[in-house]
Amino acid sequence: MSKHAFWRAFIFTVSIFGIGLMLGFFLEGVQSDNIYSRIIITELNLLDDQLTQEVIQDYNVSCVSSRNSLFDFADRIYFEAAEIEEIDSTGRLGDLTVLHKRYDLLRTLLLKEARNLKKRCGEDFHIVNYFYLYNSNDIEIKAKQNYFSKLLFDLKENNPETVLLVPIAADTDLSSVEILVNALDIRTYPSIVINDLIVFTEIPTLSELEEKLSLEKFA
Amino acid sequence: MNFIEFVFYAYIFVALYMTSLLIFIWFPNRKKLFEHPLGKPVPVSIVMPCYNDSATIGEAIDSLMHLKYPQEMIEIIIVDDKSQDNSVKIVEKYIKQYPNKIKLIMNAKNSGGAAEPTNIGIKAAKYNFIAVTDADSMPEPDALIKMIGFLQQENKVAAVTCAVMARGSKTFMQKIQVIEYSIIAWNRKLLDCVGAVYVTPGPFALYRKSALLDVGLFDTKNLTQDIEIVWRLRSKGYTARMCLDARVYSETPQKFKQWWKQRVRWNIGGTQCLVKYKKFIFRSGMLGGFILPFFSLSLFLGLFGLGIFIYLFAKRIIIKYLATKYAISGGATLLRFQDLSIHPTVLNFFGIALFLWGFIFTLIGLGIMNMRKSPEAKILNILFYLLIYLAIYPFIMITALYKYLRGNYSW
Repeated sequence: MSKHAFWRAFIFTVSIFGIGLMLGFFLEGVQSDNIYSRIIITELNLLDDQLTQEVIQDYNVSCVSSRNSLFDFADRIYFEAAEIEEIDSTGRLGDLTVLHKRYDLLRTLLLKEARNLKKRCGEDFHIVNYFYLYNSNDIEIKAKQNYFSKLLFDLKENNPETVLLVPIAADTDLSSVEILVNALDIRTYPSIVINDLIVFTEIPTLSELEEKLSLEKFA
Repeated sequence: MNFIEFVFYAYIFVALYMTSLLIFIWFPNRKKLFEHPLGKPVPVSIVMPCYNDSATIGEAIDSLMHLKYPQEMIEIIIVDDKSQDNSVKIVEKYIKQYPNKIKLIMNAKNSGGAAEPTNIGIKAAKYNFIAVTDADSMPEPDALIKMIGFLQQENKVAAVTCAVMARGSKTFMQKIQVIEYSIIAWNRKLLDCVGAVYVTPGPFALYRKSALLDVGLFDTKNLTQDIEIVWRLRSKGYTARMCLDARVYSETPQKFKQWWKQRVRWNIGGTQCLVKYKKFIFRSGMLGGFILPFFSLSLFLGLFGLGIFIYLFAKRIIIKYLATKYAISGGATLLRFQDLSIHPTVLNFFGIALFLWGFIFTLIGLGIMNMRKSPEAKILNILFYLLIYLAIYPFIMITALYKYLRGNYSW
């Protein structure tokens, strides 16, 4: 009887949909596992880097190798986190907030390391912090953040050896980040902070940023 | 998963369900789709409303003259709705040729629709079986004899429709409509398999006069009187059938503007029907159990989907615009490789799967309607039909709803 087609089609659709969703969760699971493996490696690298700094201090090794390892590490987590953000923005079944938090913690640790290095070695590089909102739906903020990330990418590309870029999401409920944000007195997002001193909240141009960097002379 | 993604999944589910339903109806019935009860010729009155149809009415009358049906059993009543062209003159010429067969009734004033002249013709008809046809439509010679058996088989059947096929493919719009009409005809037959025919389109439909009189003839205020009459017949316990083996070829709009106007009118008519029969929703029977929920859901999903689409699109455009404006004034790179998403999501995969499913569904439909090898059914045309043509529908719906709510509509 053709009228059975109504519930048969329903069962069929539910089955297909269910299989599709399970497959989706599986594929995303594989993707998340890959990211988790990478984050574990990154965490190991950070630990290694922290120990390297200690060893450099204890054995009075040149600051150059310390600086190089810090830059390598910073660049790596910058691109890894950017990739996660891109994956997350495409709309997924699962949630990547925990991964984001881990990267934000890593970058906060990186910031601390970078400060220590500068203090210890008086190194010739700028720490450029970028504070943004991960969960904002405000169109103006999203557009600004879109621009800021392009701008900072260009800044980093133009000054690969002298700019240490540390983007951190300010709204992921991490107390260390909250303390940092309060200490730097950041109230508007997105914000760019250069060497803990100069804060940009409006729309800076690339040349303005580069000019500030040249005036700063590695303060 | 956020709310908007959830809505997209819901859409995919509904679309998958509807196409699966039709496939589940089709498969067990695939060998019976073109079957029809053997009809016995009985006298039939053919009513043809006409308004400024001078370009096609001659051909339309000729096609009736060529029906493979005992000609002495056919009476043709043409009701002119105060045409301003030479339609009447053309009809008069045919009357001279067939004086005892064709009758012309002149409406005193233009009614602005097809319902009133059709009702005039029905009242004047001598016979109980009435075929209603448009003055721009040409039924195949065997259409009537193939359809009449449905009325003779069961007294409850008050209306019979056939496969309405698009006539002419001069323009691209017409080519796409050839595909559309073929798929609609197939789908309508599938709905007939579950007793859910909801319309007997104007180009050529057969009715039982006693049933039409019983329910009060066509609604002159409705812009889709051919949908409304079926819903009214159903609400009074009658039913409607479809004969896929019988075909009528009907003129289709050549240009987008005409097409848009026609579709807006259809959608206003559909909305009028929904409002008029809302009290029947979820009541037993096909009208309340399937047709009304199906129409309501289509309208809701179409409008809701359009709303979400516009919201997302506008938001994206504004963000891109502002970010680009800042990037230009700030001297930053406008577009980077990273800006191009290279991470397909589960939603993307579902979308692709649904599209492929829709594509296969369309190919099956065209194959069944013997249109797969027609010059209009090129792959590019099918893709355009699936990706662009159908996507315009929500915009038609919103226009129709706006006009309906403002009361600003006419034929």
